[in-house]
Amino acid sequence: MKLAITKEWFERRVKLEGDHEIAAGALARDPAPEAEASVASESIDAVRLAFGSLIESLRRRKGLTIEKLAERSEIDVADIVRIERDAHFRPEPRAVYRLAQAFDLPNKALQQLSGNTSAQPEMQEHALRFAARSGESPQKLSRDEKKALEEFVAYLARQ
Amino acid sequence: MAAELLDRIDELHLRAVETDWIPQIINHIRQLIDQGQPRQTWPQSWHWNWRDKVDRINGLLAFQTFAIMCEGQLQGLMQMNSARSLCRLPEQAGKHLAYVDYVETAPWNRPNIASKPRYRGVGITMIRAAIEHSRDLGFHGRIGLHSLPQSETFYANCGMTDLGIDGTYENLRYFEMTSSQADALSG
Repeated sequence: MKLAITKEWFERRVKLEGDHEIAAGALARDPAPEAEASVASESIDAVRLAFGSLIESLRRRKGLTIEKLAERSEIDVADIVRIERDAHFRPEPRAVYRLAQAFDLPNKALQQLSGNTSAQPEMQEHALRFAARSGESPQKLSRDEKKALEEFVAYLARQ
Repeated sequence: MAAELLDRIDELHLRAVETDWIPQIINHIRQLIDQGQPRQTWPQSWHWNWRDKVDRINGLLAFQTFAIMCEGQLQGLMQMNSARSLCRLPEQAGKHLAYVDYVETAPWNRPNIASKPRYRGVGITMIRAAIEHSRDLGFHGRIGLHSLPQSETFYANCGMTDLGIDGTYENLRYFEMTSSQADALSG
């Protein structure tokens, strides 16, 4: 294809662009909060949110970085990041199984929390309570958060 | 600054998307989130995945693709599809057009992300390339595209006709250019 753009043409026409964005086509779309919020019809799944908070809290309690947890549980770093922070990311059952082993929790309960199997109403209730009591992104768990974590872990362990 | 328009996206460009573009876009979104929005209001469909995106661009290589390089960096990407759809404007309805499937400029050129965009002109250059591609195909410069909401002013500025929100394509606004609009812009 011949494309003879002269400097003169470019300088004249670039003004049309000004300070505007130029992206077109759905593929160019960013996962921006505003854009997604208007499109999303599904509500945030509290159980899955609790799963992310749980893994993050357990990891912090053990003093593990994401990288270290990834190494120990043989899960991709990116997957752990998304498990903790992306409520719509559905981890593979194998990854959930490895997390269950890493934190010594029943696999069945964690599969429910992760959304891989459906959670019983009682589980949903406990998960919701835990999600509501855990902080946004604590560097260190507060006493209340620790307590919430311990209670939830104790409940999970009985499953 | 001399820029180069290449009429094919290749592996090198895809790698540049992965290593140069996407981390910046993700950082930008993280900043938005850090500006005090609680976890509960995080993007509800945060399933966007950079590997998917690169894979999808990879899958587009069957079509006519374009890349703009400047100073050794990837500045823009575009993909054209000449068989996707026909003209919708009444005056040219049913005629062939070259459809812009996807066009994007590097995050550092985007006013919404960079406080001081590095290069302007990726958009206008790509539109000109799209027009020339349409001419090469014998479509007389007729092009069509679905603009993202933040880019609608640009396509209107280019003289394209706004055919409104398209409910069949993610509620994006559809713009179409006639051959005379193409002549006006490229003249």
